[in-house]
Amino acid sequence: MIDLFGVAKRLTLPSGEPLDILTDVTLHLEAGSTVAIVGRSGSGKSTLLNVMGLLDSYDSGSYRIDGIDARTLGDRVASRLRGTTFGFVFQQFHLLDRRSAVANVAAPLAHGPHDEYATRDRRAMELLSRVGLADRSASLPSQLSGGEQQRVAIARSLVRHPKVVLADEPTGSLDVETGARVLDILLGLAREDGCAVVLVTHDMQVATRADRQMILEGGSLREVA
Amino acid sequence: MNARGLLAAAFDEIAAYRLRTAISVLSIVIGVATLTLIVALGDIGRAATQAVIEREAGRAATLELSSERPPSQFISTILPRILQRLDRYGAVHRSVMLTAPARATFDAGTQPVAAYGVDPSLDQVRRLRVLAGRWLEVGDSKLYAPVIVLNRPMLAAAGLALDDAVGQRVPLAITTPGTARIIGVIDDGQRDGRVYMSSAFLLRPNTASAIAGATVVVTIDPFDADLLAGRVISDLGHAGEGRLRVERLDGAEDFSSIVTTLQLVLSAIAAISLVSGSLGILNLGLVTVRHRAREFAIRRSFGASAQEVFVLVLAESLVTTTLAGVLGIALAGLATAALPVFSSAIIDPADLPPFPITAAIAGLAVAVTVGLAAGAIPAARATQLSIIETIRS
Repeated sequence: MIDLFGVAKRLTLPSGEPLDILTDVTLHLEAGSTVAIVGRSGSGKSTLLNVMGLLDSYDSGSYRIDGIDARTLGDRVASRLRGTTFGFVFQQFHLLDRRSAVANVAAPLAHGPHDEYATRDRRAMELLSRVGLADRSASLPSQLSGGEQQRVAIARSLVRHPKVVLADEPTGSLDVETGARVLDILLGLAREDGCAVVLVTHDMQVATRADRQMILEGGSLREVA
Repeated sequence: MNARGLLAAAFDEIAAYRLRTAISVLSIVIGVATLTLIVALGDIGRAATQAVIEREAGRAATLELSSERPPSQFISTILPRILQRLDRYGAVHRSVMLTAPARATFDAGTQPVAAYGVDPSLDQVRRLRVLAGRWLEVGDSKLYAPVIVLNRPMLAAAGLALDDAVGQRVPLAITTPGTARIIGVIDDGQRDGRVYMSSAFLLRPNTASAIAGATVVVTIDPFDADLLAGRVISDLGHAGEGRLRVERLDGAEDFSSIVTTLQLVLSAIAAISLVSGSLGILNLGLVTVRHRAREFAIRRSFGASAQEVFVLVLAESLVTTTLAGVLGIALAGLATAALPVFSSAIIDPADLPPFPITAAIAGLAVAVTVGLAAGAIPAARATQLSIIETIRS
């Protein structure tokens, strides 16, 4: 489903120096599988996630999504593919302020096809129920705890039936107990929906929850022994 | 792209930030209301004044043809030639206007009146408003006893009530005593009392000698007014008819030009207000885009393309200014609805036309243009934000 082969990306530092953040990343991701990517801060984990989610470009190598070459895609097609293929969960939740929980979950449907948009409220409420927040649907992000906000973000990431959820340190801003519960919800829902999960974390305990553990080091990805 | 979804997202954004939206649209509401009001008042003022001019002097363009010769000679010699030429030149409407001093006896007593012998077509030359009864008809000239129409000052001088006047017979002496039946009361815009009757009555042998003045009023296409006046003077002057006077009675052209100039000046003032309002919205839009960078980045992660983000920001601006425009137009509509209360001393409320649709269209067009102009730059800026940097920060 997702195939990266020898993907490399070079960044330019503010000083003007080039930095090869990704040098040779190869990864095959099957539908419904879960992969945890660990690595030190600045190792390029988030950059890899952004490249995979079509939020960022790469310089060389090959990246195919269901056989489609990502390099050839223009912004409109890439955006459509991003909306239908990927769901994002961020460390800082990134919910829309002044929007209720249900409006936040439904927000991605405004950028989807009309039939998805027409059933947005029902679909959003269904997902809020699945993350256990049906009774908080009218609450604003500021009225929710960190764990609740991340559960809303998980519901939002699944609202468009993505094939892959890309989670960047999803428990990084939560205490251990809340983080574990949020992770349970994320992995549980993804399994129910047959959705693959790519989990970026620096916490090996979190990483062990995934089917596979990989480490990003020196710009390349390898299985954790 | 889901247009409905984007429009709903734009509405959501406006609803979520009501105070910010309200402040940003205030200047647009005022600007559009001012501009709409100026256009509306200009149109209403032009139409109302035109109604007054058309009643008092005649429709555009009305020429009055008269001669230095005595009325009897004018009627017998010059008038037939004038009428012949007017028909040849394609005059739209025409009427002779003969005046004779008369005495009428009403309940208030006997008093001198000005009797006007006219053609029924005078109400085509001038905009006469029938207040009671009817205006003169062609068949009235064949009646043995004259029928008359009073104007409003004459009705007041006669001490008659509007509801009771029609049908009354009043003694009317022009050269010899007689009786005339009142068939109508009109508003002709004149301040002096007048009694209108068919010109045929004044031209009868027993009254013709009393005619003190004779003219012809004619309505023609304003474009041809100067040309026709020149031709008539040239034709009749060369035909030995003495000095013929042709005077344009309606001031519609001059008034229209004054109103247009005034409208342009006031519109320029409103435009300045709108431009400053637009700059305010533009500035607010640019600041807002910076504050909403995170939201745009998140929407990009949902699958929104750069084009969709552009349309979203532009749609918000358009929806905001259009709503502001509708509000401004409504305010202008309310202001013009109150016009009869304030202008009744100057203009008869009956002469005021309804709120002109052109003013509403102009107001809406301006609101939409402002929305497009003030929204395009922030929208373009929103598409240039770095998704990665924004999400990281």
